[in-house]
Amino acid sequence: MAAIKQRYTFIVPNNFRDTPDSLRLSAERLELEAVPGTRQDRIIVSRPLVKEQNILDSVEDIRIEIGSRDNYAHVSPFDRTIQWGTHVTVVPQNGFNWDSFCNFVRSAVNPRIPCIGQASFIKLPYGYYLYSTSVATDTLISYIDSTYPAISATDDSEDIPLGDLSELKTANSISISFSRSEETARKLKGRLVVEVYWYYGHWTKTINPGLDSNNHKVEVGLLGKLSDDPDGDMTFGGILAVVGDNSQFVPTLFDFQPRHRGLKAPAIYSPDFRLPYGLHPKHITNVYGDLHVPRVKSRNQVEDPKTGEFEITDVPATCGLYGFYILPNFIFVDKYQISDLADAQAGGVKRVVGIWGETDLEIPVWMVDKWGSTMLLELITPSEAELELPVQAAEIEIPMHSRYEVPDWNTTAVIHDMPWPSIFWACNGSDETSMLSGPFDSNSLGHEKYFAPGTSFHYLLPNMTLSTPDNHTELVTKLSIPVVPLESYKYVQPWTVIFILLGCVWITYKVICGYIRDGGIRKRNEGVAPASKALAEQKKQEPKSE
Amino acid sequence: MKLTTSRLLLLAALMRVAFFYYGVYQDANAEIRFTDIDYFVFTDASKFTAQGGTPYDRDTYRYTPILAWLLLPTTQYFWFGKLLFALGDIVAGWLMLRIFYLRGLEYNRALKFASVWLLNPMVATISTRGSSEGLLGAVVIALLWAVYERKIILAGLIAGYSVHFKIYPIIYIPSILWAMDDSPKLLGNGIMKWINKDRVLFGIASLLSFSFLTGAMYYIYGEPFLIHTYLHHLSRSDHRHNFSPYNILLYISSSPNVELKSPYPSLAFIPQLFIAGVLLPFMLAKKDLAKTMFVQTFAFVTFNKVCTSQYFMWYIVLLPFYLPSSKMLKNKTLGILAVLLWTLAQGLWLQQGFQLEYMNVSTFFPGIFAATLIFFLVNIWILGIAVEDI
Repeated sequence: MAAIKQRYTFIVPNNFRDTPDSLRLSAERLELEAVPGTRQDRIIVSRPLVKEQNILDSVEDIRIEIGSRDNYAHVSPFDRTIQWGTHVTVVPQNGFNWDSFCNFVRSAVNPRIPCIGQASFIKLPYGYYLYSTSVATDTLISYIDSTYPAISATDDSEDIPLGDLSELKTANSISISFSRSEETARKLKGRLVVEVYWYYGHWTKTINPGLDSNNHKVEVGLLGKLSDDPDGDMTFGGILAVVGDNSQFVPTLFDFQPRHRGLKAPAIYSPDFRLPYGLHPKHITNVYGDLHVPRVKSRNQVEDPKTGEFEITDVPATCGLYGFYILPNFIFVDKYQISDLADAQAGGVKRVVGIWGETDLEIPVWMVDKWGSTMLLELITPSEAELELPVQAAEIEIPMHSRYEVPDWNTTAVIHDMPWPSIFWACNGSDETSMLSGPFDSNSLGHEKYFAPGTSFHYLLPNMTLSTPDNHTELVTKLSIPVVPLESYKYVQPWTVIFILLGCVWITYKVICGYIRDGGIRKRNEGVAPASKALAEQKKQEPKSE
Repeated sequence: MKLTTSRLLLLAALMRVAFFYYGVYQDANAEIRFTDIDYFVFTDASKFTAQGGTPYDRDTYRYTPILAWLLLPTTQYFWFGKLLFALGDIVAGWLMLRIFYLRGLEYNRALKFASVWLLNPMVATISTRGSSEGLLGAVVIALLWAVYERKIILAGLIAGYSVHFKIYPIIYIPSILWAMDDSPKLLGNGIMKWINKDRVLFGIASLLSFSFLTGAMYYIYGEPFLIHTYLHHLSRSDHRHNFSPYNILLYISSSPNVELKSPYPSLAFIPQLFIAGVLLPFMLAKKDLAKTMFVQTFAFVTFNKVCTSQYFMWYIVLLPFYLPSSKMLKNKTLGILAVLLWTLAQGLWLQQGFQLEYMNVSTFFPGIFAATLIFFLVNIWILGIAVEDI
């Protein structure tokens, strides 16, 4: 296998027909002219060429993924959704050097990510995770550009194979990953994988072969989805070419069982905070549409009791509806309160799978060491009676709490951006892990890691128009948190002290008044505790009135 | 129908039963839960303990493990803790009546003043919501009763237990010691005369009981016990708004945007302990121990860095001892004014707090800040009257 494998995938509309105008393939290059559609670039770099050897030496899995804030579409087969922001996930082995990894994150990915060592990561059941709401990609792009000249250097200086830099800036998501895990497809294992995704564009560009054609393979595919059996395979057809090798496109037709997919029948959701809210905002997610359980069959090996042979049998999978929340440090949930919801089957919560990270119930935002917390909930699905209705609805109501914010000058509120949760069905599935080696699957390390490897994911769509260059839409919920304006400090400090001192003086004065009145620290004829006997006698003589 | 001790206690019990069932109803039907959040902390801690863990497995459990042990039955009967706390109220009321008897207060007046505690709806609400303050109230009144009964060793044991339970009763130790005048001297005259039998017995008993309990808990639960039960209170950074006059200063001063940290919050214990732990005991305890303990507690809560309405229970339990000879009772206008101002100042704070907590209005400054200072002023004014009364 070539040391560098570069693949351009274009998912073109079904009515797209290639013409000599739109595609010009020669032995030297491929030229595209206004090819419409979704695009994904994938570069697989084999281990010896990877520059970050010191980081990769003792790691099982690493994935750094930046999702744009725009509400972009997830076009099949790129259905896997992530929340916007920068996601850094690590499954370390013994001796993993957190400091040099954090140096790498800050210098190569984004200097604004607060990565100072293992302490910056929250512990998840499968590894360590750092999230940042910063989505800047320029550092990462210039890093890739300067570190992997084999990818970006070309004989034609006008073009850079890994999309030119301005193209990368418009990408909807960029990820870098490296995995030694057994679950990873063989062709990705032990290699650095970079993936860049644009949900839509008209692509005019020249794609050149690799400089060293033996070690650098550049492949281009133009594909369309031919069929999508919701409980089975997805079929794609189209044309493929290895630039520099093929002078003609080769037709292709293949099917596979994808791990991530959209829902066949539409269901949408939209979250917001219920108004009015204060320091205890209620996070409401409304879900509408077809909320029938996806009909998914899972393939299992079943032993035939008569023959003793194993057969592959389709059985209906069991599915659950899940909500995955990212809670940056300014907001948190009370895990006990959420468990109570699940116990009462209230708020749309069926089961708390887990809450990880900073869950302290009291500390203000500046005492939170890590970036925040995540929560995975299994949600209550509509009852059978509700499923009779043409459209179903569900409401998830999660009580949240905002942390005390840092006081600032001339402001009485701090506004934060919170990512929308992801809502999806997870269907437990096949014993076989063929989905993991699907042609478009990558060693992803997000919510899917909470489920068994054979699980399939079916995503609900955010209820918002897709972002376009003219009309940006973002999956952002704004949260306003009241703060004390910092300029009040110059009044608060002296007046607090003055009042306390006044209080002390007043009490002392009153004590002295009493002292003077009684002529001492004692009262005449009154001790602490008159012996009960003596007192009883006294009482007989004259009822004492206090 | 004439009020008698048993009728009063029965009435107090019935009132708590009614509040308890009202709470069951509200918990099941209303948006805002009746049961206190702390009750879930206690019961969770008991659950963890029952399952072989420690009470500190529950976040924000900041109490002695003894409380979690006491509440072990809640793993079977969730209401058991509320029953225990309400029972604490009633025991406190009953002991209060015993003390009134020892102090020679007329029977009918004693019943009337004990009702200030026993039939106080605020007290009944706090216990039936599941707050442990009523239980502590019973312990403090038991301490006072033992002192009045001259059961010195018992008093010492209770004192040690109460300090182990909630630290603040430590302010009662100097008052009780100072007041124990009437006892055979042990070590000659002069300054040594001060060391008398009662003081030595009380000192040793309280030290032993505190050390034994705290040592035993440390032996069983180790570091987490010390950190959560005691050290947390020294380093607490709980900035959530509360009634304390220090509240907004603490919030701003501890934040990273302030270049010059205010030195005052870390000095707050000086005026507080000077007044509640030195000045008041020294000047007043020999005049009237029970009333001194009331004003000490009132001062301690008023000058505290953190103050929530549960802390009011600490002095309300001692209020009935102060009231009978109070100027505020003799002068009705003064009394009504004091109650009115105390309530209004709290109302103002609550209104500002509601705007912040639920309406997203930044009322920290000047709203809540001013409200805490006004509430402080009202408290200081009342405290001044009470101090002069003793």
